[in-house]
Amino acid sequence: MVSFTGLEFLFRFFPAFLAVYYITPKKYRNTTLLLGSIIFYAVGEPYYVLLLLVMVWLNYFFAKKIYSCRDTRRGKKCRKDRLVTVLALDIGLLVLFKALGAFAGSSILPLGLSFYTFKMISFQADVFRGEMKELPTFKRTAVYFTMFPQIVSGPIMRFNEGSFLMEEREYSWEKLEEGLQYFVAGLGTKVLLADRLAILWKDIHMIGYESISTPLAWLGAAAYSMELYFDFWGYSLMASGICVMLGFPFVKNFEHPYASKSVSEFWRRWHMTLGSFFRDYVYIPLGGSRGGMPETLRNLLAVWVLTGLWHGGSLNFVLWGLALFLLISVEKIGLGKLFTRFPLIGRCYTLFLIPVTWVFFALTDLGQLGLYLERLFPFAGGGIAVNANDIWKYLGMYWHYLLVGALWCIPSVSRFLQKRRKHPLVVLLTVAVFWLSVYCLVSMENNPFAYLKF
Amino acid sequence: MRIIKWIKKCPVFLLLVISGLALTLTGAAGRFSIYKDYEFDPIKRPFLALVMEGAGNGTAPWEIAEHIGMGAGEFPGRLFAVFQTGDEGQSIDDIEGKKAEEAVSLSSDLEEETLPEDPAMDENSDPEENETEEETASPIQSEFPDEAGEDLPGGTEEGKTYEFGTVTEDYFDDAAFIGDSRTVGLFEYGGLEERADFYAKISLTIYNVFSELLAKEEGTGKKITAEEALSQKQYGKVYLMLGINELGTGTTETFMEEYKAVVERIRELQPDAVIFVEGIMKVTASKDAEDPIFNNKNIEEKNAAIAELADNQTIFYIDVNEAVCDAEGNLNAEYTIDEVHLKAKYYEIWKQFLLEHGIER
Repeated sequence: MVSFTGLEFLFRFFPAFLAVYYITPKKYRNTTLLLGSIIFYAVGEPYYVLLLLVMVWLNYFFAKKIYSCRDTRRGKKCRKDRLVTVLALDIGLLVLFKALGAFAGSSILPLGLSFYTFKMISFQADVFRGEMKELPTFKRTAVYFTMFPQIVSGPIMRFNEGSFLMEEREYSWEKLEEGLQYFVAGLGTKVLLADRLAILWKDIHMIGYESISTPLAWLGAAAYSMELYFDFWGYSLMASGICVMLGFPFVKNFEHPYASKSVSEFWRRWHMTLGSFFRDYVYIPLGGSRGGMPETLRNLLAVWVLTGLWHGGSLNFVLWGLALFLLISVEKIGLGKLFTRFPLIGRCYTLFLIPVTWVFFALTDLGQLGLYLERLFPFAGGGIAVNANDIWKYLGMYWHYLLVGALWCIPSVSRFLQKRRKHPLVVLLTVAVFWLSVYCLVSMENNPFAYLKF
Repeated sequence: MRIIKWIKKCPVFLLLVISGLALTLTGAAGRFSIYKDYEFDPIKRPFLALVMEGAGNGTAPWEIAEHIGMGAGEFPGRLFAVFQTGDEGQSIDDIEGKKAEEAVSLSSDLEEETLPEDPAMDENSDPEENETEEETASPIQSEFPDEAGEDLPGGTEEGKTYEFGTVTEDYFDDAAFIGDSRTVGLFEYGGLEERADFYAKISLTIYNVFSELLAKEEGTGKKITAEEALSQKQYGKVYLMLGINELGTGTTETFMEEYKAVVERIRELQPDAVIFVEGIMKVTASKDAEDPIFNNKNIEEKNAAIAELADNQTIFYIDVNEAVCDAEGNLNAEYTIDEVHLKAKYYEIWKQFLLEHGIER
């Protein structure tokens, strides 16, 4: 049920929740959302839901403490001490589970831990900095931490973005419609594109990386880059669409990253809520780019090592973070200026390098990573039992997904549709995408053989 | 006017709610009629999943219109009451009469669908082909006088049997391989594509091996079936590996019935060829442990039955599992990623195995 693309969520939990939510008088809708979110989480994590509730309570307890010494004489030190304590608690929990996960497998990780602890950290920092006009009530804070659209994989919304004071929340049929359209767009992106391209990536894996031709290796990298984007963007659209349907503002997490003109820009447009989290709570507190180049680079390094580790505990994620650090540093030092002058070079450079960084991200086994890189850059020869024609087979099988995927990466395509979202054809397209996605979900869930044919 | 304004405010929402309800009703109403063959637990899945599943198998949701009221007797009481009220004025007798009638037509439909295309096969074995059989049968007769023309499998005549020997790669110059994705892999990575012909396709089964368009006609490039391809060109050896995709359907008996028919048909089309019936390649130990269908017990059962077809005169059973399995008899986990298919570089093992299991007459 915790997956937005599960039939149970689509046709049971969500419609039922939505009905109850709107039947509830406005004043009590936060209570409905809180209870619904706890049920949602408890179905996915019957034990760790207790951990979540304890963490919510502890964080509120400390936030109150931080807030309460705001006017005292030794206010600053008092606040700082309390902030450090609660951050140690939040970060400690995250690090503990990440470390356990690295040894015992990621299945031990509580659902959404990486996301809700980041919300907690940002909340404490915002309280510390006095960015809250007043301390929110426990209920509102708990809703913010646990709300089901965001708990599994974000977006990492800030408390102030969420208009949790309900008088600010806006309800209307138009908003419901708008949110639903985002949701369906996300569902289609995930189910009709990401899940299909995932099969291509799996197929390539099945051959064994030592035996793929270089063109197929690049096709695989491109397909994986699209898959990852459509998977996460699709998910984020669904999450934000639900939030809009519930009266919250739309939280943007992706801004057509593959249309970027540099790697730095790519990362300002990819998983934006994570990027801005690291910017506001790591990079800038460390001094940002105010202290000259060496300090800037040190701060960047900190951000990228942490970003790598946040995504996973194995060595390939550290390498991935370091690779991005290097690419972004080089741009910061001077290459970026070239790209602003010649955007086309920047675009090609980005489209060429980002898929390579995603290969680092995808392959947790360093031996496999090495094999894949050898096939991407076959300067040293290599390759066993390579079939040079393999690229044609997979292009033949997947060209339509790749084509639609490539179009869907172009900003003006989705802007065009978004502008005309009330046009009858777009309305019908939305309905068609929804049912086609459900059709694909059912045949995948029910008939794995259709996708696992031998 | 206010309603139209409201509709204009949220058309997607309304359309989805209406279509969702319609599909749910269709699924619920058709549960015991047009969707009665699907396993379904209303607690686990929404009713509209049935409609989607049906659509995937070619049953359009509007077919329910013809079946309203069918299966009255099969409804477990309460749920049906809801729908029965919708059958205005139709008496139970009517319903049951209709039900019996339709049940018959449905079951005959089913038979037609699931039974292999026997009629098609009969059609194809026209006199012309019988002639060629006689023609080509003669050299065999001269070479092996004790084999009386017909050497269909199961023949009880005493014939000369042969032992496997090691052969060189040119052995495959007049070979044809028929099979599913595993044989596709052998084609792509076994290094035999220049020598042998491959009639292989992902998800091919013994039931559709002769109906799938999986070959190209030489010269015209037209897509043809393996059956047509085999009637156009004569081979010295025909290798056949099928059976994993159909593990979930039917029994070993129904499978073997069809398998025998296919082998007989190959024999008709290729009277001179040595037919190698290949044991189905197994899966890894972990796949074996967790999969209720695609496991080695099921594979072994089929393989034992396939092996019985061998007469060691013209039909031989070979089992590549001897080369790719570990000591416990499971596919060696090192050789595969997905636990079912060999990694590209290990198709060499299969080829070597084939080279060690040649028959020279």
